[in-house]
Amino acid sequence: MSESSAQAKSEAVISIRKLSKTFSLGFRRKRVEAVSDCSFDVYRGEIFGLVGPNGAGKTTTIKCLMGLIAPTAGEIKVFGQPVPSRESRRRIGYLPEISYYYDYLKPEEILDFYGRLYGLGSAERKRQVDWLLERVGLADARAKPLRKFSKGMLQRIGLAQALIANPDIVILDEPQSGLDPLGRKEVADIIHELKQQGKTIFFSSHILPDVERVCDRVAVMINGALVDIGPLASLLNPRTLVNEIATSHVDVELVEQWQLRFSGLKVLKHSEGNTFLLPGECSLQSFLVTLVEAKVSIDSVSPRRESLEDVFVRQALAGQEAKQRDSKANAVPL
Amino acid sequence: MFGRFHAIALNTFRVAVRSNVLYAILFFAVLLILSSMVFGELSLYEQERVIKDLGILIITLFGALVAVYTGVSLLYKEIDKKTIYTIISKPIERWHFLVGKYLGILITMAVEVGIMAILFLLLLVFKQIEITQTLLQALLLIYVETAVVAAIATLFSSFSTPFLSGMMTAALFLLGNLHETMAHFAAKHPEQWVRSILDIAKFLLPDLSLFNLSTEVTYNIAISWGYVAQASAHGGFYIVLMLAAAAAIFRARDFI
Repeated sequence: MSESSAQAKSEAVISIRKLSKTFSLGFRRKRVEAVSDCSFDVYRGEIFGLVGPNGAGKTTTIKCLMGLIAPTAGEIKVFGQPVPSRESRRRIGYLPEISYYYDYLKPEEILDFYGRLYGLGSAERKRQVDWLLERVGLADARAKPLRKFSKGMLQRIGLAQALIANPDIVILDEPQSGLDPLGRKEVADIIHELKQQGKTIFFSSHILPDVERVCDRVAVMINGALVDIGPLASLLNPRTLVNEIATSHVDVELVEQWQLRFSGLKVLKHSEGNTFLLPGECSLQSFLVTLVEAKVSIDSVSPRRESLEDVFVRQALAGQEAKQRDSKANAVPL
Repeated sequence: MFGRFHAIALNTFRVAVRSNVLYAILFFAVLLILSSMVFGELSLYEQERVIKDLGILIITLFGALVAVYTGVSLLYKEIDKKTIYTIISKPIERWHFLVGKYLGILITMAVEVGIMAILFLLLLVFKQIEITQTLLQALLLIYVETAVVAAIATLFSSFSTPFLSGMMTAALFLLGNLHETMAHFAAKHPEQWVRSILDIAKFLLPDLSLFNLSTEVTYNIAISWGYVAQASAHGGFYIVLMLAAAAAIFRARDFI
């Protein structure tokens, strides 16, 4: 996938080259390749999304980036500094996928603790703690110990600790998991706000509509390999996949005739009428003329284009097929 | 950098003081120290000796127990509960975290051993038994010994489960206290290979018998501060060795 010229000109703040990670698991040290030969850049000021099914290697990639896991091969740089290093972490705020906090501490105490780890002075810590508690909507809960917090509130604390040192890069691993729709919208708003402040956001998510809503560029990972990367618009097929036409009731014989004429036409029957699913290759105009000529009332016409979810499913299925082909090719005949 | 150590150490102490196990250990220690008074009464003419002996023994054993428990559990908890993810992803080195944790354990040990020691001294005052310099030196060296035990526990917990770490630390605590016995045994044993094994063990194990002044306390034998400094330096050297090994292991660990 080619990068746009604007992105090619901007500075890569995160640079991952030929990253691989193999784990040796269990008593027999079975080797599992979690990430394989991944290379990509994240540019200054963009919102970069990493998507993929469970076990695709997203969290492993992020953990390698944060120095929590040592790569088997490859190189990672953050602002030109090698990973792992203190310098590379100095300008990063990180929210892990599963994060637990000292549950006996209050929000202001835990944020103060993380501020100290960044080496912030007491005045700066106080200012940041007050601002962040307000920003993530926990100002009223500042005196409550964390053990009394809901999952959503803990996720907000996680977000606040990631932002405590006003980092240039924010890495969020599944930031919207466990949040209700309102909470997810708030996180999306914060992500947009961070982008407006000139920060770079790198996040992984399973909630694909949220990724579509906030990301400038997306990378799709399947089975540890990067299968697609680029601006969202270039990943998604701009053509209409299917047109959904809601109509009044139509005679079965007529439908059968139309299905012969319009290849791939499907019909869903419901109490208020029918919904026709006309493939994007068929002429919508001709079908609408046919409906009008048959005196069928048309309630709505909705074109449906490819979503990130479709790309994701397409790539995941292709990945599964490739895996099956490989395993058949490698099978030892009895 | 000091601020980071301070933050981690203080947090470790906060976690430790919320542990019911530590309160239970302290409760039993206090009970046993008080009961030494009863044993003293029963021993007729040896009252002072029995109270001092038992007091020192109880503080040593319970101090070691607290050191093993805090050493093996506090680091493991951070890894098991994944609180470590948000800490070592900050701009600190992994060894900063490890040393910060160890300092927190030392603060916890100081409080635990301190409470037991103060209670023991109050008991001596109550029984009108003289508090000698040797006794104070013995209490100080018990604290150094617990610090060594905590460092051993920290090393094991950097790669093992709390149960195994606890077992291995307890074994080293016992063997370390048998250092002098091992030396005697090695010198007199007829078989060369036994002598060699014991010599290697002697070299690798900390000489915890250096910290045991119970005989000197009982018979009120004066001990120089030079000896205390030398024993503490031996302990300090072993602590640095243990923490360096733990840091090397911790540095290579993947936090999956």
